[in-house]
Amino acid sequence: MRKDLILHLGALAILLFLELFGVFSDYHQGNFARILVLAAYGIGYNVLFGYTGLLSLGHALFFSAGLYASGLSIYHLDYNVGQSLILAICFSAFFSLLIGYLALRTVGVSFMIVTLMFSQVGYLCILYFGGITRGDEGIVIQQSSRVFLSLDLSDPTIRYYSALIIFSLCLIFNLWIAKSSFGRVLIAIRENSDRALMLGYNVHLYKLLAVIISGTISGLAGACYGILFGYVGASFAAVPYSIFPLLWVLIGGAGTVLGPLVGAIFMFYLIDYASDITDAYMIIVGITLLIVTLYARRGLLGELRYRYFKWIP
Amino acid sequence: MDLGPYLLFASLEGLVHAAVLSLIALGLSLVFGVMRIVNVAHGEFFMLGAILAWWISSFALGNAALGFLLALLIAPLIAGVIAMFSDWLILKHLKYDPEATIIATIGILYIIQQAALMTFGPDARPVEQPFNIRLDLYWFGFSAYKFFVIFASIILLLSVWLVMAKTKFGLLLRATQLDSETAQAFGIPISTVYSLVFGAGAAIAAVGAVLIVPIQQAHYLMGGEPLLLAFIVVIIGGLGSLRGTVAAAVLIGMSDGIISVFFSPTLAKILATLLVVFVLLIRPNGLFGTAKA
Amino acid sequence: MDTVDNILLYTENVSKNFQGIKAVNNVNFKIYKNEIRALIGPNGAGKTTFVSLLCGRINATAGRVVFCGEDISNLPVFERISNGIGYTFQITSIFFNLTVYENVALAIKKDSTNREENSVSEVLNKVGLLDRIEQRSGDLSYGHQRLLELAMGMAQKPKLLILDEPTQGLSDSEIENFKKLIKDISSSTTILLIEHNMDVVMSIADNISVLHFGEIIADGDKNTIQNDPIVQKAYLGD
Repeated sequence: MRKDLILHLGALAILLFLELFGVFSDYHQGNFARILVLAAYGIGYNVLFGYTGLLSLGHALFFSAGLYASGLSIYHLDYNVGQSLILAICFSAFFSLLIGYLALRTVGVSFMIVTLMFSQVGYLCILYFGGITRGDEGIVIQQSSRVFLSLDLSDPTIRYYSALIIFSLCLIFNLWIAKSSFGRVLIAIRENSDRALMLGYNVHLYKLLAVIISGTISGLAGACYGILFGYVGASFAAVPYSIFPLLWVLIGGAGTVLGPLVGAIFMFYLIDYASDITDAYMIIVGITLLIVTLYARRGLLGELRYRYFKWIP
Repeated sequence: MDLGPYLLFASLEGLVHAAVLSLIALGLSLVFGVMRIVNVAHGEFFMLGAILAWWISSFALGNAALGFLLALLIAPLIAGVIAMFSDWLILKHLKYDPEATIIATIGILYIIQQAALMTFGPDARPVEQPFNIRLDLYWFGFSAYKFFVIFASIILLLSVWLVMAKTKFGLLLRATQLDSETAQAFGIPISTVYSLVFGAGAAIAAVGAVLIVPIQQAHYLMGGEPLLLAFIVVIIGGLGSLRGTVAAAVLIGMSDGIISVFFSPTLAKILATLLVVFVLLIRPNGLFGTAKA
Repeated sequence: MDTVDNILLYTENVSKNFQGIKAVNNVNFKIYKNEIRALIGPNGAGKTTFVSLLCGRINATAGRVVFCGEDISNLPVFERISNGIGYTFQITSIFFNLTVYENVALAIKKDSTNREENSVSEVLNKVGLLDRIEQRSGDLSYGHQRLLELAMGMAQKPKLLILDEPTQGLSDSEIENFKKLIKDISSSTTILLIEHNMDVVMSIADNISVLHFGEIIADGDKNTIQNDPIVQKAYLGD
């Protein structure tokens, strides 16, 4: 079997067996359920930033688009989990197409600012339409609504396996893209988009597709987060949730498939530890960003790939 | 009360906010214009100015005017030094690469903000106005201090303009802004210029904070909104253009004030943000289009 | 022979204005199938601008570009490229972080008959970079990077390959190698060569067009051009 398949299926197997053989305590089981869904969000972000080279500072917009699409449809329209997920995916795809079309009219720093501004608008709209969204307070999704195929998703074990399934799907999908010719063109665009254009590739279309894929995966992760953890709130649309995936991807390795997972695990526990010490635990985010940007731009897996294992996708 | 006086009142309030906003935006614009980087932590230097103002004035033992004066002199200095330090420690090593700089300044943002939380605490704390005179404007009384804020901002803006237009340092700045490579070839110490500009940008924002903090309270999260508004002003007003910045600040500050009063603050911000997006989308040269011909 | 069939690309009154400066001024240019055409002219004559108008990197202010009988004036760059125009950059623009293999693989036209590995090896073999196939292209020497740039052009199997100063900065032996390669490619591809190196031009070009201040001042085979007094006055005499 190919080395990269072994690596990734192996990682998934480890995550499976840790739970299957009861290695996880309740505490870590709950943490990892969160980490896996957030890592799926990170995978979505990585498609755009790591592979295509477009730095978005407003991805919380996509995460919360899926979160609210599914959450609101369950809360207000009595959708079941399956229906709300389908809605969330469709809405995220369409929404990313729209935002992508507009944002891609800019490049470089302007693109970063436009994406930041778009997510600000999203956040403010959630607050402004508080009648529907319950604004800052948020919506609690009742346990009774969080049932899929007769399985109670609020049960910690079922929740963990659900998170693992979602994460696995996103991981495999990302692996497939990374090895496909589509993925190679994305990488070419990241490396030298002018050259890619001069080789006959419709760079603009590829970028738009990258935004759509990225936004849809992020939206799916958002929807799953709301369903699995039962809470839909405006905080998920605020700036920190745009910075987190950037941070996870940078730490784990931009443009590596497993990078987001590595980064998410690292940051989750780092913040967890820091919040026991101080209320100002977000300072850890700041310090980590600085250290990574100054000294470890390639991230953990990126560095491993650069030095030793060139086959890591 | 009929509309006229109400509108006048809202306008005066808007003018106060516009004055402070123009200072914050000026700091951001200087850094954008000369160094070609986006400083996402800019709002935190503003916040730092406010926090420092509270701290410094607490040494004046009840004399509000003295405390204010001390704060006005010292707080921007400290903020400027901290900014120069972060430039020296971090940004220089990144060689001002646009992407890396934005990410690094986000890091700096969190560090300053959370450090403020750790030391200053989560509460909002008031600072006393240096003087408490009310002017009788026929329909309503209005604080003289607010007029002072407007006045002081104008003085500072004029001073910056004078420095830029009439002094040797200003000439160096303008040369660097126009063409940093040629400036370097002419022996202009770019590195030092950049540090000073980064420090100056933060210091000017801090002055704005010292001026506004007796009206508004000091709070560790107060940097977020001014940052957003400053961005909006700079992008709409055009980079490196002092006149554009002031004009846009007045426009944004006043309309934000008026819409906030008559409609809702949230809606005002939504509209302002959408305006920025619109400007960025239709401007073919993007952010730095006006600065480099 | 000037029959329509023989003309691969022509321009009709093509112009480009940059805020008042006429970089390219009413150029009527023809290139025939399977020839090696050199485009020469002093610095600033507008050669790169003109060629950018052909492949679409810059939009013309006026005039038409017709390629294989089709008006491509309004087509975006990537479409003109995929219609069969290849372009190599004056300043090397490869994918520096990718391997030699990956660079060429991105340039290959999807061919169902030949596997990708074979197509890449074929091209690299022709230019002599086969032994460096797994090397990171950024680590190659300058000369090898220029070769890779050429290989990418070849891999596209274009109908028209535009080479923008391909021998710039190369050593004499590397230039000899390039001359051989270009001659070789010309059997299956039409070449438009921008060059400053007169030795290269005279030894491999079939015909020469001379550009001066954005206008074609002379057009013909190399002997005619060499002896043309207008050209001599403006430019030659190297």
